[in-house]
Amino acid sequence: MNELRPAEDAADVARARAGDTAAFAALVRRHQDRVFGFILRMLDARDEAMELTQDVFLKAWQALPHWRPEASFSTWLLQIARNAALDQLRRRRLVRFAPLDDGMDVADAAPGPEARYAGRQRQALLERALQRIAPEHREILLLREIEDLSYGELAAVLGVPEGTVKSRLARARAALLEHFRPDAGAKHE
Amino acid sequence: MNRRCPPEDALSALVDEALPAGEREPLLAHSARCPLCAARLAELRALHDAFRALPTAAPGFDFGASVIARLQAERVVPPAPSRSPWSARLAALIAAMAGWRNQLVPLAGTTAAIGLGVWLGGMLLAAEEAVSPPSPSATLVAMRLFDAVPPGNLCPRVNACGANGSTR
Repeated sequence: MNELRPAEDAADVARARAGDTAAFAALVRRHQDRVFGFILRMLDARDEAMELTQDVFLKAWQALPHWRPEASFSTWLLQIARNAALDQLRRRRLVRFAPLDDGMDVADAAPGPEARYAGRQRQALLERALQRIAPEHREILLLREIEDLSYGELAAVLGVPEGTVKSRLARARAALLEHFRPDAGAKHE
Repeated sequence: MNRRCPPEDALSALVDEALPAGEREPLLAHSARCPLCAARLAELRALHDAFRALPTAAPGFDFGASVIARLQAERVVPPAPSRSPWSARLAALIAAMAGWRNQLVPLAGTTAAIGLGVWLGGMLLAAEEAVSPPSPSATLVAMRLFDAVPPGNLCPRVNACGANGSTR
């Protein structure tokens, strides 16, 4: 994943605001993996994630005048991505009922005897378990565990108080552990 | 876990290193002697490690070029230069007013016609109310058609009609 470079972001945003599309392209390239990865794991559909990632950057272009340097550009982008992903899930009417089987290009989740595949199987199980929990739990876990957002940043992105971040994270982890046991593989259902 | 165990929120925040030192140390001490909390903390930490081991979901695609191409193809409005919010709103209002200037004359004529109609109608209603005596409800009057002796008919026998010989 690309490194966060706030100073370069601020400089590129200033140039992009003046109409410099090359500067905006640099911003896109710097943040595209982060935005795409988050959306892909929210939607569990690669083609949709590709399309929505582009939409997020188009929205970001239009919203550039509203960005303030006090906020991390990366976090601001994730907020746009989060809203877009939830909108897409609502359109699919899958906010409550996430798909269980179709989706990401990951290793076979069936338990196998080869120990060398254990790591990939655990990854696949975790990806599948993520799709089984509610979107509001999935998003907060992705933003915390993968994007490494602080509690303050989570509160800003999700629009909730920090106390809610703390309790929602705990509930999200408990929900995920219902479907994923890191030390013993998947929970038998 | 039992009633003396810390809430799940605290264990979760401990994994995130988001607890103040004053809460962190007692929680670690409790977990060291409570097998249930120790097991839960181990699960949460293993989950944290599993997330860290996930590969990056890279798109393998240059969104920079495709986004700029779409911006140019769809002629998406470039970001306006930074302004204070009130001045931006004022500018938008003036622009909107300029757009409506050509339609103001027909709009004013339509409004005046509707207003005149409402005023004349109101005058007619007011005059009618002033000259009309109080009357029984229209429903009761209409229902007399279904009486045994409808209005205007002859009385079939004595006492079938009102005292003055009329039907009610």
